[in-house]
Amino acid sequence: MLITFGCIAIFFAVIVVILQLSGIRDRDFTEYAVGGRSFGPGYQAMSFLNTWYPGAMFTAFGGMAASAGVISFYVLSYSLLTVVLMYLIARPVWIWGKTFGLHTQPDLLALRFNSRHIKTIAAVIGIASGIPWLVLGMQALGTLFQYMSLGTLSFSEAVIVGVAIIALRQVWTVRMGMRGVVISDFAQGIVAYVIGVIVLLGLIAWMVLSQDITFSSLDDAKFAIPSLGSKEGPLYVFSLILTGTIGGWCWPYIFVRLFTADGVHSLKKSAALAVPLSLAFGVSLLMFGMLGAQVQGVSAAPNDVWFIVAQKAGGLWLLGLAGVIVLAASMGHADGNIQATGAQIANDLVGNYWNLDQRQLIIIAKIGMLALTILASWLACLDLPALFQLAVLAYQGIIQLAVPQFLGIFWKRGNTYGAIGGMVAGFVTAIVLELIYPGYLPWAFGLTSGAVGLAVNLAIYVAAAYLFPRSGAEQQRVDGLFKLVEEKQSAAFAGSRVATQPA
Amino acid sequence: MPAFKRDLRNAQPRWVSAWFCADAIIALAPPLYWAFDGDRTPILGVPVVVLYFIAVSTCTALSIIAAYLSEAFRGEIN
Repeated sequence: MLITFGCIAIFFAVIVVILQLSGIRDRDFTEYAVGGRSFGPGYQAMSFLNTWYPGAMFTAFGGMAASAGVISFYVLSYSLLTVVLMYLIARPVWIWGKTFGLHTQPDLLALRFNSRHIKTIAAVIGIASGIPWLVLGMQALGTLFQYMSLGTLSFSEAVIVGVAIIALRQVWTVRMGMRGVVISDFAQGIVAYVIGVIVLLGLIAWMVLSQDITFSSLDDAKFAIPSLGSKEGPLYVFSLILTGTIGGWCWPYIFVRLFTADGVHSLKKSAALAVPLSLAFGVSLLMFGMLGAQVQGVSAAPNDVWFIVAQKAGGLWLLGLAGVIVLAASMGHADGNIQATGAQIANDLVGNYWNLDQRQLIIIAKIGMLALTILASWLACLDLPALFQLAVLAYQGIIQLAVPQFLGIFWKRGNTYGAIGGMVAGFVTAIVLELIYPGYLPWAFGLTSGAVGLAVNLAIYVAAAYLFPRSGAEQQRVDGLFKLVEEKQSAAFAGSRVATQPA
Repeated sequence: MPAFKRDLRNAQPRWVSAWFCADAIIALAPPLYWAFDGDRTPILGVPVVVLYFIAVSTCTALSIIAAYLSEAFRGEIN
């Protein structure tokens, strides 16, 4: 236990030292909420990965690969496709963010649709949907600390230890805001995904070369993808990948990454830097999970495959390192979630109705983050059997932000009626359907509730765009927003052509 | 319309847009993944159905890298 907890303590201390040495002071709300829009591609790439892949990847998705097999690869498909989406929206979102001083995703919707209320609705959906995932992340640490204690702690005791450590870590998130999050994401990301991939490849080699474990000894069910005649329905995988892809940029803590970069170039380069590591991590983790299913003890506890195989292959030292890797990934997600939510509470809820100065915004964001940490810590210590279902439901709800967000960026015609009406109708449809048909809809060929809600949402948005024409002034304002992006783009194109002209 | 004007209208070169569309089609088109359902024929020890997902993801990753390199090479990102 000294070895495993020693590894965790050393890692935690290193992260705290990095944060302390960075000597961050929050000068204004832009600095606190989006790190002063100052980060280059390396920080952006690692910060995206560290927020995107939480520690639960090793337990929930590693476990899914071990128990269900190849279908778990859908997470890799949508994790990469969502970066394509980021590549496409990077320019308009960053330019609008910089020009109009936007700090959050609801800020962008309020700008595009010229509505204060859409900001509140989007913030409420974002905050409410993010809480179950924060609580799940804290509970996942229970598994981590139970293994680190070598079974000495009960699961509930281990959850309390995990929550205490992640809550302690939030002292620096609250103090330092986004700059602290991004700097620590860089260090945590290297541990979680660079060292993580090395350990995963080592464990795969150990299973194949030393234990004679191969794909050939897995049963046929592990290679099934739900298709025609399947229980889930032929469109189930399509729905999972589609909602995952477009939903990725609906999470407030992911979307805000578009505002932390120092330019469009950094955003696009960060995408190119992030995808090879994302690919290597996803492939190695999911192949590891599938092969790990054959290690003794995994079939009874598939979600523990990472810890079981690490301990069998490398003893306590490797188990300690495995724990550090999961903690690094968990910290990145929790920090990003809490920081983005705090900024939203100040900027989109309180600041939307009261005129607050920079200092007051920062103080309210800090209070919001503290309150969220306490609330999530308390919930994580409770016995909440339906939490995972709630988290899945939250995912079906959060993607309803996608219609006004993406169509608002690429299509001039949408208006505030369609945006609010579609989002609310889609959210309600998704929740009602999810409660009646959890997981997938048998009568819709396996589509998920969120996909059906999205169709309702889209229909309302498009119908309202044609049924309720905007005033001339509003039309001119929206045209101006799109023209701004075109002008910046043409300036870049012209600059490049001048630069490449012979002297 | 001069080529420069066309470029202004389309943020990405056409081949990049086509590659991005192909990423979506090969990842999402149900008949494609139905075709690989349960196919465990090994290629270098890895079942074809696993290779399908790896190929889709590799294609997507390469498209993003190629798009960035293309824009960076032409100096069109700032």
